[in-house]
Amino acid sequence: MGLAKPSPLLSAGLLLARNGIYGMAWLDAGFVVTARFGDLTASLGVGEAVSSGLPFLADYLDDIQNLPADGRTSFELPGILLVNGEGTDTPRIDIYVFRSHPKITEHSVGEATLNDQTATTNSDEFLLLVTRASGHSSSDVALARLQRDRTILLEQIEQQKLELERTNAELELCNRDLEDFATIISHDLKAPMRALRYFTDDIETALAQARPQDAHKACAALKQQSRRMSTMLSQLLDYASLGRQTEALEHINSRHLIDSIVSSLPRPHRFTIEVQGDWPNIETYVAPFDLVLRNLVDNAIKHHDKPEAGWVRVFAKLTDDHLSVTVSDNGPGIPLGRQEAVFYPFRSYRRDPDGGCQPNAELAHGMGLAFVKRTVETVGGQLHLISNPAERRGSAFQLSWPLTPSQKTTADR
Amino acid sequence: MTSRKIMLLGEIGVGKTSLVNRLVHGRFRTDYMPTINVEIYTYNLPETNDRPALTLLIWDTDGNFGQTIFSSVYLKNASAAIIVGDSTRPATLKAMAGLATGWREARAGRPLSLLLNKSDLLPDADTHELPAELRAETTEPLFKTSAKTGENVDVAFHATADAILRRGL
Repeated sequence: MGLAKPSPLLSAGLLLARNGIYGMAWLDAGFVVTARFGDLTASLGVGEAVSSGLPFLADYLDDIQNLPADGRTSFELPGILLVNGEGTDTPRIDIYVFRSHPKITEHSVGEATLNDQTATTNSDEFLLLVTRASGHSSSDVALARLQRDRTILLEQIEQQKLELERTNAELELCNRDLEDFATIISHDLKAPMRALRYFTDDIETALAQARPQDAHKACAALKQQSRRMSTMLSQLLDYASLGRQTEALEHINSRHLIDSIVSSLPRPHRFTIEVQGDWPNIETYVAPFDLVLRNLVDNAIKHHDKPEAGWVRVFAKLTDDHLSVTVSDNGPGIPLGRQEAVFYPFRSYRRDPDGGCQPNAELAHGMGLAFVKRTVETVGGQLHLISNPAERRGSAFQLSWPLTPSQKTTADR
Repeated sequence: MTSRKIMLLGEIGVGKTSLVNRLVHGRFRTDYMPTINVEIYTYNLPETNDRPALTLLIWDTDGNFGQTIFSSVYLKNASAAIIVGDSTRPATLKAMAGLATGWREARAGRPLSLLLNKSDLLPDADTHELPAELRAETTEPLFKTSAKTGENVDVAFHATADAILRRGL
């Protein structure tokens, strides 16, 4: 009796299996391979655990174990590419596992013998089906490359937009600085210049009238005025250079810093300074931070009209992105109408008996708060003044000091 | 030999495949071959005085997954994640922080390592400022790597394996 010829369907199935289009394996309840065929299951050994040939399946055995026995529901792990030891291309595969799938019995058909196949047993529980996944063609690769290039280009555009915005912000700051300086020079330096002229006129007149004593007095006043102008110009230069200095970030104990500032500042007898709140270790630009805190506290001391009962409180609180510091005092306060001007260079005010404010010639340099405001802006922080002498005494300066400040630098002039 | 699954995550083009190729095959390719879906590499760590022999199954993922990787079937039973960023592309470094958060939510208690790759392209790699989102990741080990030169590649993967074993995963 001749051997039965395999059906055309079976022959086609054999061909596909041998050409790596699909492969199958039967697994028992313990996930041991009991039979397999097809090149795509060549790594599986009959009698060995499925995870020996496909180690990554070990993490999914519990999912496979929980498959319902309906023959339709499958566990799926698509699009896997196993990189072999040589690193050469292997087919990308889709994996399916079914439970209680109908079994295929063995056929022996001469040349069409199914290789590597053993009879299935009653213990077979799962059918593992491995198919060749749709691989990535050259057009897929080209598309993926274009996508990556596009993504990188979009990132660069976004980065450049940010740079442009930063540059525009710096330019606006520069323009504002130029306007400020023009105002200062035309207004604040005009008065001292005028005074110099008056003093020289006084000297001429005194000499012409043979009044040497008056001439000496005018000379002394002239010298003092010129010294004052020199100081103002130095301070202007210091003010201009804020933001152009390159500082390095340092780790500091902010409590130590504020304590050293407080202990170094002269104060009237019985004037108290309290430090409260959370003062953590931070990474920051130390010199600007010191300048800001020192000037705020010193300012509160100097402008106090009742120093024998005066106090300043410095309170700190850490937030997610900044250290919040409040410097408050029980001084005369700053009227609402002056609260913008106190941050201008060369502005200093004292309370007058009527409750208003007038320029304080004794503190005529008045650069402290101007330095503070500019420094805070340079590091990307904020400063707010809260004061309303009409309702109550005292002022509070609320400082938001960024924890990782970005130091803006002005363009080289 | 015991095997453990490590997920390799990160934006497209950061060098995930180059890193694992450097680790497993000791080579670096200059032509960009995008990873599509998942590619699984096997890397055998030999036994040492401090560590038993261990096989790492490194799942190199498609960068396009983004956060969706954490809801995919591929993540199951992963013992650790290595999240990679491109030192020359700040956007990918920011994305690392999001992936780190996603990993912690999806696989709480599993170790995580952060790799700043392509450090060979930065002349001052040590002083390069990290984005704020990544600076907040202070508890995770961070390695500056180069798949091209091999710098810190072995170190990063070995450290991840050690972390898996230390936690008994």
